[in-house]
Amino acid sequence: MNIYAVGTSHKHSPLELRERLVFGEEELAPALDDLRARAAAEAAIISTCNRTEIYVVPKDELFNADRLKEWLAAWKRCDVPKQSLFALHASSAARHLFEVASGVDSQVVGDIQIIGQVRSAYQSAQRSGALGKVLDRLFNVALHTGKRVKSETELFAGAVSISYVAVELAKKIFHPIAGKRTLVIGAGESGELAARNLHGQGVRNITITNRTESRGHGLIGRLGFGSWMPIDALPSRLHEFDIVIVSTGAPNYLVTYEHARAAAAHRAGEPQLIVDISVPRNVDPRIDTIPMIFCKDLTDLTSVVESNVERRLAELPRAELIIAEELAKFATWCNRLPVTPVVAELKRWGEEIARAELEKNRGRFSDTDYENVERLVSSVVRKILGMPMAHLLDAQTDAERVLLKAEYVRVLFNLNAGSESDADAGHALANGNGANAGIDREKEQTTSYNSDAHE
Amino acid sequence: MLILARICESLLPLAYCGALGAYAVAFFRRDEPLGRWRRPALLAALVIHSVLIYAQTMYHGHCLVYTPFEMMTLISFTVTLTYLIVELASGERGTGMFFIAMALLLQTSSIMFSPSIEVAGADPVLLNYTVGLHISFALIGYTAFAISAVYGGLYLMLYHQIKSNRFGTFYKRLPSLQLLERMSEKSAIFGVLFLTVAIAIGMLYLPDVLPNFHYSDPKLVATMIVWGIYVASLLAKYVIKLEGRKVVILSLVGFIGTIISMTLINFVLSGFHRFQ
Repeated sequence: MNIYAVGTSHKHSPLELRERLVFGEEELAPALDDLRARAAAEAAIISTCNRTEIYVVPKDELFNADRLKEWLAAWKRCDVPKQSLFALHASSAARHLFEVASGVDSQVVGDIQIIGQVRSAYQSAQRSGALGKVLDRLFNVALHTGKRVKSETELFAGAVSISYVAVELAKKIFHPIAGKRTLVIGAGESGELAARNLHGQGVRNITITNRTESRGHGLIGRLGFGSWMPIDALPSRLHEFDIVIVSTGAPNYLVTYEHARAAAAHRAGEPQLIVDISVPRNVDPRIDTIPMIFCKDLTDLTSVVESNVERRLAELPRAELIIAEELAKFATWCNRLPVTPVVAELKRWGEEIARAELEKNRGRFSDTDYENVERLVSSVVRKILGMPMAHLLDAQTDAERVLLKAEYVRVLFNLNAGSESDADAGHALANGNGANAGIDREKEQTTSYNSDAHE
Repeated sequence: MLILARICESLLPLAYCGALGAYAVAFFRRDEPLGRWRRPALLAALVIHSVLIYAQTMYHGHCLVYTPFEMMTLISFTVTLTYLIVELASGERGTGMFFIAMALLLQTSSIMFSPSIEVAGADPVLLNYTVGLHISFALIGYTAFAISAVYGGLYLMLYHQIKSNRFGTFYKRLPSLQLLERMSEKSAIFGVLFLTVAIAIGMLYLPDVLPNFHYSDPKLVATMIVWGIYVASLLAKYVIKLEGRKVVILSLVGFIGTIISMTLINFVLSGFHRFQ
């Protein structure tokens, strides 16, 4: 049994193709059933707006990645250029999933959503009964790896979009942020995004103002929350708001120094955050000199985004280290998988011989002596078999040698143990030169595409 | 007991330094192995500190309130203990480094400047229960001022970081400005309440038990000034709605006054408040 991963992501295909390959929630179960009916012993599908990836443990040795690519194209009823799909095998496939679950492979490195998306893919496959021993373990380790990267590194820390930085800044000033009054000046996309982010943080008192009233009401309609304030009321009502987000196309200052001073006097020392994400600026930058008013423009916020991105990239080596650790553990588990039934059979074989010999000589001992002899014999059998069993389970041994040793033991002791499926799990890694060894990525094409979509 | 006290006296700064180091590592670099030892290190420091207080109390046969430096070790202990309780209750660890630094500062001053407690016999005045109450209230009041000062200092630090667009580690790790301001303010209110009671007890009761009591005692005057600064800062906040930053600055001035009243005035000027 080998582990295959076939799919596409923002690194391999444009948005138009990724859109065509997305699996909806209701489509996952029939797709997994179909995969298992055709070629897969185990299967799972991760599908987000940035990636569609299929993980498969095939039924037979004749399986190859091309069959999976053909299946994907046939299922989606579209032509998929082969170079737009990647294909990974064995430890490369496992490592890739760990990188995906850790946000390392995301378009925005450290995208927090991806952990939930991998978990959702795992649960869908589990519900469909498409997971077996290997993929179940693989996804569990992947999710664990994601959690470790999240808690042990700063890969997921710090906002990397302007509107999130504005929200973070508000959270750094106000406590709690939920009850704060917010004014959004401008009915454009940036204002809408900021309003949605603030609403997502529990801010319910949101007022919208705009030069064109109909556009302002349009934004309130799209948002489904917020109240309207005419823009003429801005100077007299500025003091009412704790957070002010300005994002318009106006060529002049809408919030002047005089407005802000008057507002500050009204607010009696209460802090106020004014975020100007307009180009050209709509807020007089001198406002930042007024005590207790924090006025930030696009340049200030961009510097935060850049520093956060840099910080995340600097964390990549630590994340990779965690991934390597978890991959090594997974490899050890896989290496032991074909050996486990041999070890169990060897133990059973030794115990059977001991039991048979004891039965044969039962009449020669009193009950008390028999119990003592039984304990002695069991101990001798355990000690004799202890060494070969420890050798078989040795974590340091690579997959090929493990399989070889298991085979020797089978022949030597005339054992019948080890189902093909269990033995094949280790073989998967042997084919991939072992997860401890170098990773042989079989990417057929890795043309990078840039698009705006996130995970 | 003396040997135990000496051992603890030597170990305690090291233990506080260890805890400070662990908290600093966790503050600047998340989840470094050393950072995971922060709470055990803090607990170890608290245990050593408890043993030190016990050993010194047993050895001298009196509570550690004879000198301001003895009181400093108690304040240092209560600051650390208060922080640990806040950390356990709220899960907020971003401020730990600063509280431990404050505790270390107070404890080191206590060890360095204390005339090492070779106090002959217990002053009978200090065995009086009302005087004990006066001292306890003063101790809690000063501890609250110390805690208020830490939060106030952090507030000013974060305020300037945001104003000057320095969105670094301090910006990321510290709690929000309003929370820091509120904690500083609440601690100051606690401090004022306890110190008010301590002063009231002192003014009403001490003239009867201290023959040399006089209202112009430098320590008493200094304490009144400190109390006045804190009361003024709180009135400014609630009555004339002075901005939070200025209130915090006033509170910090009050804390500096507290330290001066506890140390310098006791060194330089004599009065009935000295029991050695």
